[in-house]
Amino acid sequence: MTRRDNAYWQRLRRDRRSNAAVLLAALAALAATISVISISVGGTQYQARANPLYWLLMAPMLWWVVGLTTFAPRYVRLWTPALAVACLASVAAAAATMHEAGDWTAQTIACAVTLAAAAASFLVRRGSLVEREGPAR
Amino acid sequence: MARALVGVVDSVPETRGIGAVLIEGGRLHRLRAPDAGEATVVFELRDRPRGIPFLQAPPAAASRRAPAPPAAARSAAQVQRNAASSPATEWVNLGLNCGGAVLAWIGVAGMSSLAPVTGGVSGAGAVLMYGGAIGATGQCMVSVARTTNVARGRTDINQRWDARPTYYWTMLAADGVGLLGAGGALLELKSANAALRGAGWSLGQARRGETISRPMRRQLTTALELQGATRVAGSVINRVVRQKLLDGAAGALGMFASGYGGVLNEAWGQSRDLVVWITEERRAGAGAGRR
Repeated sequence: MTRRDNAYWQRLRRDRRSNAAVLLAALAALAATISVISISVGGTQYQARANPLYWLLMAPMLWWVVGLTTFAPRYVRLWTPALAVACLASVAAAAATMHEAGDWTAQTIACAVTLAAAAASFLVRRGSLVEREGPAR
Repeated sequence: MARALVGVVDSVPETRGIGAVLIEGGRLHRLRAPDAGEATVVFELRDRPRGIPFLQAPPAAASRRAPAPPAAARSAAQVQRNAASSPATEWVNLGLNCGGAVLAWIGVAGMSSLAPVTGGVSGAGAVLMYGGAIGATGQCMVSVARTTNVARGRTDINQRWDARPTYYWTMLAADGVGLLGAGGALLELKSANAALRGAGWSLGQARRGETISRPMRRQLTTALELQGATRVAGSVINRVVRQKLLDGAAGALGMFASGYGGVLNEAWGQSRDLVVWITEERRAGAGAGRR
């Protein structure tokens, strides 16, 4: 993106609350993505990488998280919907594996991490520079 | 292949001249008909067992849950990941992962040194860049260990690691973090390329270090959002663009390592198992004994 207001960008890129909120959102998105990959893509790590589904699931997370670190308007607008999708997907993955195994699973832990990180991201974002004055411009 | 298999049968004195059959993909190919009542060597090519996530498992297999195994065994066996990877896969992954890690660290150092000119990345972006480099380094170290295991003839250790859920999840997370770092570098390169093209300059010209005219320097300073002056020196512009190219190359290598490593394993690691057994044919109604 082309930034017209460099002074604002310099403040935004150093704002601790905004950056912490972005990192927590990234953690939530990553945990949800690997949780869904773990139940939908089989085989070892190398085999998983060769599966197109692995890349289909990774790509949206990469696109959004990398974009969010630039505080570009498009990605900031998607903050709430993207985390909502991540939480729903993570809960679905955890519920499915728990139903199958009848016990706590790794996906359950990933779900807890997703929900906690997403909630913390929203909490930290409140009152941050990106919330008060908007995305980079 | 038929001739080769028959040759193998004939090379063993005890099986010389007897019938041979190949079962492949559910089809039976008779390589050499056996004499009446004689034994037959059966070759069967089977796909090596692969982990099937329960979402892809057929309902009959998914519902076979009783009697329930112990909790620990259940979680470990939930997804079986025990296929062996080939030595070629391990060696190529070692090169790609360690090369990617070196480039990622060069990129981190270069971007930090250029921050006063480029305006820098956000704090979160910097964390992801460092995280990506650390993730790539971790994967490089794991690759070194895996390749050492292959060189020592201990591929069973690699298989044990692959089957361990902790290892699988850690590697998946490292993959994700590494890809985030790579994605960030590629995004930077894309935006730099767009800015250069918009100003009538190209990545190739910048890489070659071509002299930049005064008006062009002013345009590029604005397009690349460089700080410190309205017209940054040409050498600085070339340095910035070269750094972004290097970061992009590191990112591309990171992505390529992920994809190519997997494809390699698909091509070579998923070889099939050959099961051989010897059977004996008896004719219906032949009564007791062999004919």
